[in-house]
Amino acid sequence: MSQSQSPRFNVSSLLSDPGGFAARLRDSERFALPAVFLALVSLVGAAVFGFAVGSFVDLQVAFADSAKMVGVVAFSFALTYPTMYVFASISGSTLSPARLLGLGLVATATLGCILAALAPVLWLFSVSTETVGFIVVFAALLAGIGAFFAISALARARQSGVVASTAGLSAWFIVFVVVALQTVTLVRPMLAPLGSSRDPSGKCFFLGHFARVVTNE
Amino acid sequence: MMKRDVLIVVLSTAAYGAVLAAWRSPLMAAYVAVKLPVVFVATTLVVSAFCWAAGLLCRAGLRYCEVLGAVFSAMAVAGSILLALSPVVLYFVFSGAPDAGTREEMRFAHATMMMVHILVLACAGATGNLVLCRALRRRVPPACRLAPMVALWIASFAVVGCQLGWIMRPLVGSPNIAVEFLRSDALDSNFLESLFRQIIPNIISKGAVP
Repeated sequence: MSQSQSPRFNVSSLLSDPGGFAARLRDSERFALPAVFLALVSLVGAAVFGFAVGSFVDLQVAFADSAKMVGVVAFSFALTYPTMYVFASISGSTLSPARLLGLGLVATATLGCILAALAPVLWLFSVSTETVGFIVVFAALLAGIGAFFAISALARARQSGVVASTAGLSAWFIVFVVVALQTVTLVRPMLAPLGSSRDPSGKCFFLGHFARVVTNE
Repeated sequence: MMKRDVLIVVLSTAAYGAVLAAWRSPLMAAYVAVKLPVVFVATTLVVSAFCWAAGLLCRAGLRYCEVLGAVFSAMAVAGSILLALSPVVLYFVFSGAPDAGTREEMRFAHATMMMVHILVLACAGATGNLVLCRALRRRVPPACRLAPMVALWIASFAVVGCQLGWIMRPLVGSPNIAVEFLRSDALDSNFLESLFRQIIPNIISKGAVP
């Protein structure tokens, strides 16, 4: 079988042509395997990024944060999946819930790839910095870069004709990011030794918590 | 078609209403699940005559029933968005709002949630009106001044909707006031006074404004 006849589902094709990747995914008979691949890329990327964040403290926290980030991404995606379907439908999508799941996974997998690619940079700063506020802002900045590329991937999917408009999907992705930030707040501390009482355990909204951490209150 | 849209509006706003007040108590959630659909449907009925008149002034040539149908379809879109965001907002309520704390902390949490809900409702309303605008563009004659007409509709919805919501308070449920279906002073002030005298100052001062 020639290479052009077998659709390619790998990281390089995802990053170089996310629109084409989404189009192939939509048309693929064997949908489940690439969807699982995308989910794995999303989770591995989150785990690697979490490891880099936790390296600020020690190896134990790095592994704990790695597991937490996997949970954060999986939970946020599951919670916002109905939102994605409604938002996409309102903006004119006729894709089935399963195919839309694939498109959502293209965005999260792109985010995962960028987070994994930026993880060494974050790790370098984590192990060479002592200011919690700086690491929080720096990690948020790198995650913001990942989110930008994820939304760009959705825009490329529109150019490839997978969806008529990406307004709904982009809005969903913003909701996904906000939920992820709140979940990170819920599973704190991310930047303190395990079992320490450095972070308050009470409920709070992520903006208030991040502001407290950054201003070192 | 309009009956289906009204049903969507009632069910979705009831669901979001329950989420809106869930942090306070189950009784409050039940109250708001009843009150929020009333706010949405009553707002539409109150402004429908003005919307129809504004449509005629802007040469849209729409009959009253067509205006009502268009407005309810926009409301149904907004309701669908509220329904889609209900799990997310519920998650925020239960993961972010404290169960107990000082009066200042509880007031800050209340003001924050008020702002979140106002944002969500405003986004849902804006999207509904955007969809309405697109639909009307295909329906009205080319001579119709669509932009000012829709602007007038949105302004009337915003003013009447906010004030009706204010009259029907408590909707989020202030932590320092007892749970009740309607306040005894429901007709004593307005929404804008509250926004600029309590909600925004409480967020800025972290709950210091009584």
